[in-house]
Amino acid sequence: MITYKQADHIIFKESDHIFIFLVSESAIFEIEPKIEKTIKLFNKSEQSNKKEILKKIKDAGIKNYQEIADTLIKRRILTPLIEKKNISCVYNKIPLKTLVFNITDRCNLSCLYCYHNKDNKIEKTDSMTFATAEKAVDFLFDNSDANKKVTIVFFGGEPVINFDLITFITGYAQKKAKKLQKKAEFAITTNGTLLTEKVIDFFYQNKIGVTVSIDGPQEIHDKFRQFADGGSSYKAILPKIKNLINKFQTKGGKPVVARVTVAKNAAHLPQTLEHLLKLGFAEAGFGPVTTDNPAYQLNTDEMKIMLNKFKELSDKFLRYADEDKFYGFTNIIDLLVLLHQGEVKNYPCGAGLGLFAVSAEEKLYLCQRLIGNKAFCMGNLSDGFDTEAVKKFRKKAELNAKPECGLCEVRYICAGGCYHEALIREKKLTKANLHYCEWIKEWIKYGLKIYGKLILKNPDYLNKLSMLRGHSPVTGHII
Amino acid sequence: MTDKKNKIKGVKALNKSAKQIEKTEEEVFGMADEDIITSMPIGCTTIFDTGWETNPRSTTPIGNCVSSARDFTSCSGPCWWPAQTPDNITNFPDFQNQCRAIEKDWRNLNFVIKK
Repeated sequence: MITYKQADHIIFKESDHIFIFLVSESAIFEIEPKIEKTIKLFNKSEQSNKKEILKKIKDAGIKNYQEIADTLIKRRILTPLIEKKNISCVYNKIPLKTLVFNITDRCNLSCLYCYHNKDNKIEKTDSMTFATAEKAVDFLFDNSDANKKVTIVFFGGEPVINFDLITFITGYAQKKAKKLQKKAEFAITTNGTLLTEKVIDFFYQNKIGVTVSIDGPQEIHDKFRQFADGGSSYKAILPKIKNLINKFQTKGGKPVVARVTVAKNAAHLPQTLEHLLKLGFAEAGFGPVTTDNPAYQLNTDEMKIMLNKFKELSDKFLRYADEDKFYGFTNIIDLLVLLHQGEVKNYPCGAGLGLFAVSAEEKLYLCQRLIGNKAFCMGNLSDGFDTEAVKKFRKKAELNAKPECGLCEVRYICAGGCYHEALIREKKLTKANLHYCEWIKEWIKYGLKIYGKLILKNPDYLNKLSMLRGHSPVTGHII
Repeated sequence: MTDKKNKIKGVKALNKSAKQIEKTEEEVFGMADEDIITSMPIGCTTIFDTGWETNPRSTTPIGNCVSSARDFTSCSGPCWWPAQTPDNITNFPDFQNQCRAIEKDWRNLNFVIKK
């Protein structure tokens, strides 16, 4: 006879509706009060067989006790007492999907908080050569196996400094994709300083997704994002990004998005998002700066402020969504899509799985943030992946290998967080980011609340968001 | 809340993962559960043509056999014939989820009913 236990879960309520989130399945159900009442009869540590379950529900005076017991079991709210282990991909070859090209280490800005500026473990090298780039594109396609679509990301430094190389890679990858009947997609992250007409036209023509690093209105942006002489980079980029957005909007290019690094002060987030959306950015996403320098880091109080601002912006997003309108707050959009897709994460991100970064000296790294850090080199273009290093990384980075995540309610969504952040703050790449555990927990729980509210008022909106992120809509028929 | 046959009263699946649980429940019944439908044929070849499951598409390899490498988990129902396991690659990826370590979890192995 099978022994059951109560599944780890979060129950949340929105305007008289009750929802349950099953932690290890990332499944969200709406439940009726009698189901909630029944769930509460059991406690976390209790183990019981079907007969005991039936007796307990019957003794509590709940009608249809048999049907309810079956429901709880079938919907995995009561689960067989088996340690859940997600399928490990430590030893599998994973097709390469995304390769981040470190176009150049050089940058024409000297942003005070930049990890490239201060981290002395990073070896700065010359820009990537055409020969290396060609080899890297070949490597990406050769290792993409069954993937029909590959993504090339141009990163740096400031990648546009080496614009000729970008044009070369784009052309070569497109030709190669055509020959192999695959599709190559492109994305770039730029500081916006070098966006000339020629560059903008090229981005548009080749459907390159553009992310601009911009921190807000001038007084906020210029505080950390400066030229080497301390000059204002905001003034330099403003006409250029206006031109970029304008061209893309009128011609129908990919939406241009903004990426905000939040340093020291988080109170400005609503003001900053308004500003960026007014400039015409489709969306803006916020991330706290990764640094161990207290001059830029957000302290506990500032993180709290950031969380409150995130909540404020999510509420605003919800008001727009209720009316079927769009408010480009990337962080809540990403979270809602993640929840709607019910993703169960064993790893926090794709680094070292389907994503790697390649450096000018032909070395492969876990991700763009770790380029130049020898400890996280995963092979090179000539000899291919260092399979032992990749396996070792995957084994250590897996959620199961992070005892500090324990029975955390959001472990299958967070999976420990950014490796680079952990390396800087926790001094170990594969350690969970304990310094922002509580923050993440509260943010995800707030996301669940927003999810519940949205599904009651405008359920189809979640499908629209999913499609915006390239997923298929969630319907009753999943194939 | 009960508009579809696989929807249970009182619990409504909202996201993809929840809907997947609904769908899986429709296909896989727990063998060791006391409430299984016992009128289903159990045993060799009545519902299992060797290899029918692994490729339902019209492309090669058509009807390829269950890999011998998986024989050790191939004890479904009362029949211990190696090819009796439903394929856990194409049609029933969740088949073995409750049986991670064969030596201790074998009682949880399920059988499947193709609808």
